[in-house]
Amino acid sequence: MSDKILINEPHFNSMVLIKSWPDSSEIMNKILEKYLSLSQLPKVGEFIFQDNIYCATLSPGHIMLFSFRENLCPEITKIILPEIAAIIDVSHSRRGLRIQGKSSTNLLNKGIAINLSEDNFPELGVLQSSIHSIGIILLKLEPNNYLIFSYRSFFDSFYAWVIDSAKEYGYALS
Amino acid sequence: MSGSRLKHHGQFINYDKPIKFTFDGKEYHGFLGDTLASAMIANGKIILARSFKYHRPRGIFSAGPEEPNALVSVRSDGRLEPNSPATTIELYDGLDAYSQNAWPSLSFDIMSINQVFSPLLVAGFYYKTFMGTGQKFWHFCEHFIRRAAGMGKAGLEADPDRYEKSNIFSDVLIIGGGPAGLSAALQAASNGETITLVDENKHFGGSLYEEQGTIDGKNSSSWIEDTLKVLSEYDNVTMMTRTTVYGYFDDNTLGAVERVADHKEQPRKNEPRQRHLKIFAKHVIIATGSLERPIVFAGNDTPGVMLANAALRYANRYGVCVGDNVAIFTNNDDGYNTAHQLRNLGVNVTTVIDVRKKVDQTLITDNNIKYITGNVVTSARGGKALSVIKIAPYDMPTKTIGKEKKIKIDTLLISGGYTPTINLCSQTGTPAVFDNEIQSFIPGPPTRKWEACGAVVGNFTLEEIFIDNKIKNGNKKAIPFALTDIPSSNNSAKKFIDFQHDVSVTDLKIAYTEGFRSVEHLKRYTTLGMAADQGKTSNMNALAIMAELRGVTIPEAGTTRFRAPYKPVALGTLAGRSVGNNYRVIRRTPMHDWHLAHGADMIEAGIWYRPQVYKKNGETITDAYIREATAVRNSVGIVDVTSLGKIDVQGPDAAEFLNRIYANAFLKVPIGKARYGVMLREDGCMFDDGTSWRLSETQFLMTTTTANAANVLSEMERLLTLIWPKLKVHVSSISDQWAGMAVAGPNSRNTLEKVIKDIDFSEEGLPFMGVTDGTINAIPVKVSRLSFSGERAYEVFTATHHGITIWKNIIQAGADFNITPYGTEALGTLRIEKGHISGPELDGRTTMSDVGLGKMASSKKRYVGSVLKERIGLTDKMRKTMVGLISHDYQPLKAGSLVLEGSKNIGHLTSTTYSPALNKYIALALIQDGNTKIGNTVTAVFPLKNEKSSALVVDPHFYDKEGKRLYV
Repeated sequence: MSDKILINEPHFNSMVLIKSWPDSSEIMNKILEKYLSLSQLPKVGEFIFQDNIYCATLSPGHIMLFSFRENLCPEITKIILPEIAAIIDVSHSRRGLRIQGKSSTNLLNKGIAINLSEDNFPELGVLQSSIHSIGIILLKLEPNNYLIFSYRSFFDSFYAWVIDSAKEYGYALS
Repeated sequence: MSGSRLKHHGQFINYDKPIKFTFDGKEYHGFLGDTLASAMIANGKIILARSFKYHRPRGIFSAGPEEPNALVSVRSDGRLEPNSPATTIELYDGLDAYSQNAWPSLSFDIMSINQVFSPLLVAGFYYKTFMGTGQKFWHFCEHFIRRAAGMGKAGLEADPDRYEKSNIFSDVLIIGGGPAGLSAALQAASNGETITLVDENKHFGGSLYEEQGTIDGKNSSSWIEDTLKVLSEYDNVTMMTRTTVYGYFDDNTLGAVERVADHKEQPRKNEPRQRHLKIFAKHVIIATGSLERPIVFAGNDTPGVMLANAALRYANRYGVCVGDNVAIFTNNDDGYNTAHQLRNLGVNVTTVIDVRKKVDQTLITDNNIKYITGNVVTSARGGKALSVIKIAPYDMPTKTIGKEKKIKIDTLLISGGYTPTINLCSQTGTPAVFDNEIQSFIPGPPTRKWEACGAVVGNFTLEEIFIDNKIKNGNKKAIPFALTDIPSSNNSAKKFIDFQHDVSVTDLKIAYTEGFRSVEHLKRYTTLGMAADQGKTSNMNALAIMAELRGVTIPEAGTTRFRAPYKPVALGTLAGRSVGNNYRVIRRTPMHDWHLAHGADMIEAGIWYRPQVYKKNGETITDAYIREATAVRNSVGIVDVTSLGKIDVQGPDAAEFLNRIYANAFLKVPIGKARYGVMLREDGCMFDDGTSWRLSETQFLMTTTTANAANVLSEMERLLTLIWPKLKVHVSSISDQWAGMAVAGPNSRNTLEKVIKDIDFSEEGLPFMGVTDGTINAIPVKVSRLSFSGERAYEVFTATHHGITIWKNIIQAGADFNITPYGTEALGTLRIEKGHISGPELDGRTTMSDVGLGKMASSKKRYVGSVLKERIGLTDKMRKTMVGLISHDYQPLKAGSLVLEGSKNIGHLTSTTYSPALNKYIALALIQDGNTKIGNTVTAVFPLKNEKSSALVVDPHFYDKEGKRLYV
């Protein structure tokens, strides 16, 4: 068993938060399903990767899109009108960190008080929590492979926490 | 009592690894595997501490975490840890331990004079002595009492070691790795569920090491070894030793402390000394075993009196003999088992004294032991080392003793039965129930997802625990003969119940006499069970005695509910890594590195780091901010305002929503315009202020103060969720989306015109409070013409990622105008000169009228706080209102100073600065009926430094009241 943990920072060019109104969530879902060529949007607490876009349902009617593509927000704004949902461009709000390796779950559970084991939180799951008082959105890409977004201004602190915590357990980072 | 090493090799000892350690500076020797207590006994030292109140010499009493006496301090300097039971400290090379609560030395402690005054130092001493005597007398005495009382002292230096925190999730948590815990783990392991097995000791096995019987034909040591091997082969089983579960909280969440490196001189690099664990378990199995119960008799705290089971553990596990001439005083069969095992291990047990008249004759097997039944130990004597005990026949029905007889011994082992360790069960709220057979409380029916097994429910024998296994020759069950305190011919001798807090039978009787009947009152009045050991060895005896005093049964007397922590938890462990630089997270703006590279002194604003000043050529902070503020007034400056809270307010009802939360009107703010707004709390006081920019018919960009951003967002979400759920508005934090910089000064327009070509900066193109979009070198920016400084100024927002690029571009464009970056000090100076409010004025108690914004509040609409802002208390003419102060004597004014009119305190200073524009020291202040005091002279007093300044009360708008500078 290797205690090696791989970390890297993927650069997402677009992040869009979409919040529907109570009476328009179905319409919003249909528009997004069509846009993303999906038969169904992910359930709450799940995400899907489609057309180079991570589409995560954070809570009922609240969808977050992460993409390496540019100008995703203007595209979404064109197809979803203000009467249907609020579109918030947060492309610069967050930075993402990918953490993978057999011990990554153990490392993250040091800071996240949510059971990240496969039984409790299977792959393609998304959750919002905090690590060391830093708000995060965590996507489980596959077992022991995570994509975590923290607010940009907190990112240095978050990164320092990851490095420091890995040292505690003697995990090798690369 | 004169301890020594036995020929028998202790099971836990590695004799190939001798260890040197010190106690009170003197070097001793032990072996790897020893505890400090076992090594000290082996070195012939049993007194490691003095008692809490009377400073009586106390010997090692137990062999585990229940130890009430032998509390010591270990390590030194920042690593000093006081009040550690010597019985649980694992020996390592270089260990330094120190006695506590004794001066000048452990053997000669002056404060032992307290014993002379012991008739005064009884239960309720403080109430009886100090109530009604006045505070002066108490304060006089407090100094001496605090020096005399107490346990170890905490170190004053910071602990250099690392403490960590982590979370553990488990389907099944098994607490206790003794026979019941191991058996439960074996059964559960094959189910595939995740199992976490924890034990507070270094070794799994618990009481099995002293078990004589066989399990499935194996002796106990072999069975432990085989069982651990089997469990270790399961991937779903995690086994943790040196881990104490100290608290059982709601929703099956438990707190535990893993002692990762306490058994080492120093932790390895990056290794924590201790790790705090939050354990989330679907099901908990509590197998915490039991603790041997003392017997209460006169002089029972004499060094040399020890729990019988402890002596057996020292002999069996550590190869240590506790004395040369040993007697055992028991009320149950287990005392005989202990006596025989000890003799087999080489300990000279000469006498067994049993309170019971009738004893199973099969227990009397050793011709070298004198068995005395129907007798009790009435007293033990010996000062610093036991030398003699008195025994006497005991008549249980009348509770009287016959003629006493002396026996010379150096060690008395006592065995009063076993008390189940129900602490964790009790913490869940489950009432304990009394088990008459074992004369103790056991857990009642679980109210949560836990179960208890083994000795904690009174199943003391292997036959009761391993119902499916073949047990042969197991130890007999300890069924105690009910005892309270034993009479003595020596009425002055103390009979201690709670050794750690020096609570005796006399204290209980006094409390009872004074009317304290409930166990809850008894506990608090006498402090019984409230010491660091949580009454592990005292509670049951105390309950029995109290029940007898009241003439009721023990269950009728009841028991208290145990509370966390089961064992003390070091503050460092609770703090974890939240110390020093890691105390809290830091937010950095995208220009952070630039600021540092240009000489900025950074200051915390909330958790943001902002430049305070940019020092040049040996400048002081004052020099720097004066230079920076002057530059803004004379030419142009730039300040990083990224830390401002930014909230996206979006939806068809966005304007309506803002109109309801701001005190001034927002319905008709045109697209492309910003408006300053003030929010009130529901009680009518000011909550926050800021500008909101209308970006479209349905979208606003709201700015808040740096410190209040999260509170404002939270309050807006609350209102939308609970108060106005039908409004179609969403609010989202976008503080991190935008980098912001304010360009201020008469040359601000000239500067921006050089770098932003696609914005018309004329009065018509971008009027005051106008908002528009543009680009700097093709990077999109949002520009708003706002001013906090009073000068013509613009706020430039850009996507965070581009923040540093835009910042540098503007700096470059302003070079011709000698653009000056400025920090929070100059920012404050400029706004104070203008009389603008900020955090010190928004102190949660002020109203809009107090700070001169009353006329802004709309009278034509309802908004949050609109009703209560009109209440009498907030409209009182004598309320403090904001004024300006100018120092008469050219002396700095201190924020927080009291404002005196004559000798009357009429208010306080909120913000102060040196004003380069006025060339004077100025301040904003809140003073009673301030508007009528313009022109008066007041005194600003700063009592902490005994400073006084005379000041003139003026209008708070010190500079350019008409606002002409906005259009320069």
